[in-house]
Amino acid sequence: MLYAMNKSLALQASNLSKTFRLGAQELQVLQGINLSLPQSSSLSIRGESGCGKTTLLNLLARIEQADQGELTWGDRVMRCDRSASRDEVAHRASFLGVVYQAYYLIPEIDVLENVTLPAKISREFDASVQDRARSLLDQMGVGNRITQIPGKLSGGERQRVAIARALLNRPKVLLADEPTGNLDERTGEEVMNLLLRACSEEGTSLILVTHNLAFARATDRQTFLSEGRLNEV
Amino acid sequence: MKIPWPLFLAWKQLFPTQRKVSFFSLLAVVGVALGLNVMIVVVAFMKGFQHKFKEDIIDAQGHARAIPLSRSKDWSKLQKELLSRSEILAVSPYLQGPLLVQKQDYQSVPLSIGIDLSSGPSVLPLDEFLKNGQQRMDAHDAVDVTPVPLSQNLQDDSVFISQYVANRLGVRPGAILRTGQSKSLTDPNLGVRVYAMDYQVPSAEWKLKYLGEGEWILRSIGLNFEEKLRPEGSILDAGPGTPVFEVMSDGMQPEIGAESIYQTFRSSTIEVFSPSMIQRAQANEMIPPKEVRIGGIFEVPWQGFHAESMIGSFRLLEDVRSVNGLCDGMFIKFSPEISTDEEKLHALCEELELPRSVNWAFVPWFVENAWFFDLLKFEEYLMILIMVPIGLVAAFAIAIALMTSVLRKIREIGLLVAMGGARVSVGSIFCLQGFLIGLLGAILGCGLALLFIHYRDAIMSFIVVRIAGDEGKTGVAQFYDFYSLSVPYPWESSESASTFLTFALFSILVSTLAGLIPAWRASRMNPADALRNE
Repeated sequence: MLYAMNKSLALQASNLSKTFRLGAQELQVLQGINLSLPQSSSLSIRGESGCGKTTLLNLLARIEQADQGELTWGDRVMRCDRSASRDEVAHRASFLGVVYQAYYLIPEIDVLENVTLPAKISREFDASVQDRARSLLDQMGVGNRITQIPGKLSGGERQRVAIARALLNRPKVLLADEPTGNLDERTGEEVMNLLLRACSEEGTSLILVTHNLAFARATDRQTFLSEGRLNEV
Repeated sequence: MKIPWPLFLAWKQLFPTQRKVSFFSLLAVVGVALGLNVMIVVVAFMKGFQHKFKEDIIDAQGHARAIPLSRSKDWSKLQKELLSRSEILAVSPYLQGPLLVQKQDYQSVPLSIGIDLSSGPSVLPLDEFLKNGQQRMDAHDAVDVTPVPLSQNLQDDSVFISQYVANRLGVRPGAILRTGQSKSLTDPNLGVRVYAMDYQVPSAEWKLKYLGEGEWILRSIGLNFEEKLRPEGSILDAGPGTPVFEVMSDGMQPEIGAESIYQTFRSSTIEVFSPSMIQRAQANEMIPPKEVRIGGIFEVPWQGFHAESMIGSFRLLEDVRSVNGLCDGMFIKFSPEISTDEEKLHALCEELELPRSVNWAFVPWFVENAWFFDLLKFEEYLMILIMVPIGLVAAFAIAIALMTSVLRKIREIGLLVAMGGARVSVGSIFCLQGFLIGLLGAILGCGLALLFIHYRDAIMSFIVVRIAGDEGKTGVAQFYDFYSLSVPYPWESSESASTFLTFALFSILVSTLAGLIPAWRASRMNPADALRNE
């Protein structure tokens, strides 16, 4: 289903397709994906392992090139069959936040430095950024760990730090790729509640990739990716 | 201050938060520092040697030599003409050639230089040469107190000879031993010391006694000599043929009756023959040799100066060689403005040659010894050629370590791109790590080199003692005189500063280049593939 451009949409994808080539063999993982995400809303994507959920997130984040399709970030329209331009990469730093299953915190720097890194990358680092980072870390319940290095944190704490980092630049859209995949049930639930609450408070739209039905149900809309197609549930 | 994020991450990867330093950073920085230290120290020492040889050569032959291209007797006119120029401080004619010297059955054929007694010492530092050549005697119950012979000891009937000639002929200059001394004269503030001893002092026993009220008496029983003396200034001088003493009274008087006893040994004599005298002797013509006394033994630090050599007066060589009115050349000493600038010195020598191009050549020291300095330069370049690959090996090690770091951090690289980091910026993290390693290594290496230069004598002594032992140290220092080596600090000489700067920049450049390949690899990485990496 192709959605018309709407001012209230945070992100829109049209006809996204992706094929992986392994020698002579071709594997089409995504076929004409259409997706729209209104501002301050949430959407979940479920699907079997290897169905292309992470690939779809990569295409939406423009860190992977699609075979075809078009993507709109706010009012910026981009063709996806070419790699991201320098301008698009720079825009990504402030438009998108990304949370991964494996946290990907930089081990050599402390929690506060990890959280403020996106502001450094987008060249928006100033004194207020540190205050915001502290406030986000407090919000995530790890405000007392700001001087620790990631290696000394538990899995749940690391993911809370990663969420704070993803939200620092006040992104319009947050892409979360199985953020609770490495956590136990109780911690996962806590982290997911924090993520949903933070997105709601920040007015950030959320695309959540998850295997957990309960978490998926907590989003405004639920979709299921199967055989390269995204279907609303 | 806003630090660019690639520089921030590069620094943090080398010096992580909550850890003082990573093992890799420490090894890499120390590796660069040691390599740089070796390069700077070797080149600084080579330049120190060049500087020392330059000074030694100038001491041995002046800033330039005027050499007659044909036999002419106009040298005194030229000398006056040269001295009238403001750039020239001193001009001293010399005669030079081999002479046969003999002591009983022992013979030597030293290269002999006859210098003008009035102008020679202003060009050649004879007193310094004599100081270098002095040797002390070991005696039982006596102390060798022979003063360093003075250049005034060179007269028409005396010569200075090199140690090689002295050893070959078994001759020595005059010596004086102290065989006894009253206790009150041993006080350094009240004592007496031998100030000078000319080559005519005979072998005898001398007693110097304090009579009170500033009066002394010098006696020699064997010579039937006795003379009461009062110090002139602080000098007690009884005239030619006697030792000269210096009284260190320091406003106090020694005990009346205090005395010092000395034994003097007269200087040896040698016979000198010129080649023409030998030819005439072969024709059965009886020519008596010239007998001269040994005024002193000298040592010229410049090895190019013949080891078998003799310095006599200009008149002595004129007399022995029968070459009245001729000279073999002139030593020239220039003012510092000219002598310190090789280009100016060369230009001036050429200018001096122009009006008299047929008769005289003016040869600056660096032209005459160009072969030697070319050799030293060649050695310096060879050392650099050997050391640069060592530096490159360190760079390869840095490149490998950084490449390993890239492979270890693939997912972080993907994350940084996903967060909006430009690929070039992500790649530059690794390049900047190379730069920082080079920069810190350069700072540490320069510091180490400064320490090495500051403590060079102590370090060299330590090494030499380990190799040759305490006794061997003196021998090594005589051959390889590192104690007198002048190695300037960068703030003292622009040449030294340029050496430090060049090698520091080389280290930084090579380390930065070592980070380029890992940086290129990181920047080419597909972020999605990087994030999928297991």
